Amino acid sequence: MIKMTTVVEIIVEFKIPDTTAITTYHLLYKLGYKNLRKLSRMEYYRFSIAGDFREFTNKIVKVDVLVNANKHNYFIQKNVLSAKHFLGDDLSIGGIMPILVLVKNDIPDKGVLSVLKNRLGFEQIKRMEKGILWGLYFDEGDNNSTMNISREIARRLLVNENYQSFEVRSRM
Amino acid sequence: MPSPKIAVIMFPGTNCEQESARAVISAGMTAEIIRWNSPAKLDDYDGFVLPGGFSYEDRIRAGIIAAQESIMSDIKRLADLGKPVIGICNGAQILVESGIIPGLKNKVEMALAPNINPFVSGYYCTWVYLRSTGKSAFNSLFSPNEIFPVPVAHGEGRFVTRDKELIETLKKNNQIIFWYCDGSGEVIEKFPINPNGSSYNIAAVSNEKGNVLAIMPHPERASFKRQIPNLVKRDIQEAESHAEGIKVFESMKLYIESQLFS
Repeated sequence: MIKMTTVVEIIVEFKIPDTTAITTYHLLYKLGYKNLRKLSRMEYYRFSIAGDFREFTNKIVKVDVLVNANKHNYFIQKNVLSAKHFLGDDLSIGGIMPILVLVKNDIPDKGVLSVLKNRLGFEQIKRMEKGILWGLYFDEGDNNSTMNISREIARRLLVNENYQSFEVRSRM
Repeated sequence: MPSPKIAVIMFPGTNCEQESARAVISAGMTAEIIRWNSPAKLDDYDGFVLPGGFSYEDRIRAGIIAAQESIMSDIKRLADLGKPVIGICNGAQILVESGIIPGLKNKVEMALAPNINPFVSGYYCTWVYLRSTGKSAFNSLFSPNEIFPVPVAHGEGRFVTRDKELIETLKKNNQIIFWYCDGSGEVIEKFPINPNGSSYNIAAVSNEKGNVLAIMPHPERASFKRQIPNLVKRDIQEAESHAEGIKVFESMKLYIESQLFS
């Protein structure tokens, strides 16, 4: 019998100020992106698991590897998370671009994966990808112009395409 | 002949400026540690060292924020005039992220990606051997294929590129200056000889003219015999005498004297 695998996305954000996001925002402002109102940065995990989704998600958010409840909020969903989950109410303002940065060639974070599988017993994990999800919030501009600026920012600062790839995620 | 005057550039988070300056001075040059936002006139210096550390705490990725600073435009301008620039570890990451290395297409052509290591994720430090190859302002005093021990200490040191032809171009242009090798000089593309999974065992790359070098290992930490492990030192004088790493800085001095002062 073929066991079905389920894709699970987990997005982890800081409750406390994220110094990297603050530095990046100020640098982009200095580089001339004056209509960027806000910038957020979240850790992104995509798991392929064989087994029960609820059992996996209930356990993984409690083991303090990906999420520390004292400093993190998290969003978790089967398949692909909708941007409204992690970008929140600001979606109604418009001009928001979620940019997902991943390492090419699917090189996993062996340390995290090893801890999860070998020490904490997450044998159901078949594959893990880790990335950074940036949220760029613009003051104004139509979808095309903010999309173009977001791609420019990604290529200029957020991504080195010699080893990383990026995608502008759907806002829906 | 005046002693070459070297600026050791310090960004927020740089932490190897003192030992870099010490190696520069011991090689017969003068060194001044200059902050990235200093009003100092860089044109007054004969060469530049971008030392190791964690500029801007490696935020976003190692070297990228420092690469955006205006001082890097000045460094690039002066490098184009032929002044020597060496970026060590985080300094190498800054040179690669600014596109100065390898500097063939006026864009970022390479990356220093996170290490690939079968045992350790992230930061890794150990001693490795380097083999001198190619031609640059920083290895002229090494014999061809000379081997020397040097430490590495980084989490993002794997030279990679998406340009399939770039490595061949670097080889053809003699821009690969140091390879990771074993103790007999054999370049073996596997851990632990290659400590980070770097393409083609590349440890250091220069620009086409050879006056700018991005090197991931730390020659300033292999410049005195007291720094070299498992080496018998009979007395304090011998311990304080030069080890092979100093030749990187002595070569820099020779380059300045022969190319810029003559």
